[in-house]
Amino acid sequence: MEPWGSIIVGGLGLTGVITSSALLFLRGRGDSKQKLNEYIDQRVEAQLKGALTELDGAKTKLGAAARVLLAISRQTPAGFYPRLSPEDVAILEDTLPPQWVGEPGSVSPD
Amino acid sequence: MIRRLWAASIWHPDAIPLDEWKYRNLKRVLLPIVDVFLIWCGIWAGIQGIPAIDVFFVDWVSDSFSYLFAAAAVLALIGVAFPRLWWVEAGANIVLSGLLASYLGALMLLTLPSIGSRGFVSGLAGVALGVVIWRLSLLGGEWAERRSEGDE
Repeated sequence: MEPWGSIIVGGLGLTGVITSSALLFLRGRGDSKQKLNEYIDQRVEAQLKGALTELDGAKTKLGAAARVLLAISRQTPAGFYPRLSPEDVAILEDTLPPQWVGEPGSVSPD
Repeated sequence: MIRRLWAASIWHPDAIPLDEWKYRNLKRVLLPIVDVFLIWCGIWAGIQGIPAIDVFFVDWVSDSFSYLFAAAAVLALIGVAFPRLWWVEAGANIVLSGLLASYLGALMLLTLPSIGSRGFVSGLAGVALGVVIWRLSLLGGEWAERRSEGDE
């Protein structure tokens, strides 16, 4: 066999080593999770968007209801306590006028 | 000792991340089998020599080729069995890719000038080289993930 054959075969081996080392290095330097993370962020954002819109709407309504109840409590005579379920009071404590809380089961004057 | 080895091995239930679960048998079955066959090739190369390589190189180079091939295949198997030794596997696969590229080149040179008899086995050598390079690409990607997670 001609010497050039040995040179070619040896050169191919060296090329294989250099190419595979470069492949490992380049893949190792890259951020392989970047695209996956971007995709996950987009999916989560799209799915959360609807839920957050609904949540904002519910918070707006709850705020309005709290203000209406507060206004009613201010327009009713002192010592008036509506008849309320203790369970509901426990849940809506932050929404009810403070003077109506702490009197569970109280009855209106009439 | 055995329990610690088992916990560190690729066959431990916690060794594969959930996002790779579908492809777990690539690492647990396919790659170890490939490495076992590469060891088989290396052992037989050491015993019988590699005719295609013997044509191009003197005996000691040809023998070194065989022993280096067997040693690299053993290290690649150890590396795939224990993921923490990924750098051992990467080094072994770089050596294997060089040796397989040489072997593929030798077979091609013996086949292409005339219609030789090594066409089939040169194709198989190409398949083995492809698997080794693909594994190196995976190892590189995993290295990048470790870096981005701050492990290194």
